[in-house]
Amino acid sequence: MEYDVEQLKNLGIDIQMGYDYTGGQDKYISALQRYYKSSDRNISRINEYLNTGDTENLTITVHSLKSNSKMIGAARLSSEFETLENALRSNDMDTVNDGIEQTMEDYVRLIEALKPLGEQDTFMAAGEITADEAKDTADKLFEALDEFDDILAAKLAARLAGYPFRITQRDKLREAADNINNFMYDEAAELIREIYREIE
Amino acid sequence: MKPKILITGKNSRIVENIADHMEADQGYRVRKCPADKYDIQDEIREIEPHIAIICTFDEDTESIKEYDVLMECNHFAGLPVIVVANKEDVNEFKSKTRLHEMYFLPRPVSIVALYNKLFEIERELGLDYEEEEEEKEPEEPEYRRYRDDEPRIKRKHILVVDDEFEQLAQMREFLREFYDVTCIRTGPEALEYIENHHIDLMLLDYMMSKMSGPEVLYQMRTKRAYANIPVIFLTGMTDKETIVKTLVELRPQGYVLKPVRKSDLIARIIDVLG
Repeated sequence: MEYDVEQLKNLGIDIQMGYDYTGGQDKYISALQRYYKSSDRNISRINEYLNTGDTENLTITVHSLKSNSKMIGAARLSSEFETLENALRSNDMDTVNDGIEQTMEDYVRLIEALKPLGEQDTFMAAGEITADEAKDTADKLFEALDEFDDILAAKLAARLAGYPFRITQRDKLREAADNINNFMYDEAAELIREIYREIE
Repeated sequence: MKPKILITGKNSRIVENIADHMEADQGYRVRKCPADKYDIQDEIREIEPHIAIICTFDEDTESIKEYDVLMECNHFAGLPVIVVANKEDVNEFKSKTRLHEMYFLPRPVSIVALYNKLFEIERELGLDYEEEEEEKEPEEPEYRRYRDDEPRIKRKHILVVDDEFEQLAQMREFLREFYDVTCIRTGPEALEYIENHHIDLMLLDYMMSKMSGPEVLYQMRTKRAYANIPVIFLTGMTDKETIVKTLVELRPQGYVLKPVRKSDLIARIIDVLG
């Protein structure tokens, strides 16, 4: 995949720090993709927690963003999240209110820069399979999910994509594959159950 | 294999008799020691017994409190202790001691009663190997045979628990070269997983929303079956006081600060697993 990580330096990202934490360029790219993919959820949660005054969950979210930002070399952004975290822990809402807008702007700016990388489609189906093979694959997929075996579950989900599902089921399968990548086993199983009924 | 037994107490004659009988007749691995806090502590650290036997004699408050050092064994799970005591001394003993898992046998102790109690405890601990069985490899679930591209080498199994999928994915990337890795996002799922699966180490996020890392570890330490699973906390907390307090109370095998470098993580794991 073509993505020039060097452009991130313009946003103050320390690429070398990112390589150090993640273990090399390929792994750094994967980490950037994951960072991007979690952004919608993080932004939505932060807005929700700010609106509801849920400082406990806001602290947890900000705490995670502090570590994850540092992991990709966004040291300044990590430091901003750390300031917010410390303010939340000491109930200093003035500092939180003063700093949250700028921090979120910086976060969104980084996410925008990662968009071309983050939106690359990595879910690819294996070869075409019959209905019997699809059912068998789905059964094995349930077992893998029960066992929290995300690697095998991902392979089986890719194999299952070889069945000619309708668009709605295909989207559900894609969502299930995303859930598997995010280690959300129960959610993935629920979607697979819905898809299973459509296998003829 | 028979469990390791530590026998102590002021009734040294009974200590000797029981120890000799257990070793010769039943093949237990037995260690005797005087009823002294420091001697008992040394033995705990050296042999890590599964069960202790206290043979009491004319105990007072001070001498009963010497035995509290047995709490050091097995962290939170506690050490099962058989107390051989006169009936009239049982309540006194219970009121003065901090030990909580005790089985009382009356004096004079019947060796049959003692063995019955030991067998009962061994069954509970899962240590009752009646015959020397060859340890069979657990049968692989059928679906796993589908993983035909995976090497069939026995590797240590690490469970990573973190509510952030980015951290889970990163840990997986670091560790998969050397270990079998399972990734789970919540404390309750992790506790469910270890009920049915063997793991060699848990990397446990400190701050999670559904059930925090310390809560997960507390649950583990109070269940004998997983009390001894080594745990390393993953924490982004820079508050050293809080971290140290948790270390003292719950005794994980250590912690690493997130984000962690691969080399630091592997080094810490090697420290624990070898």
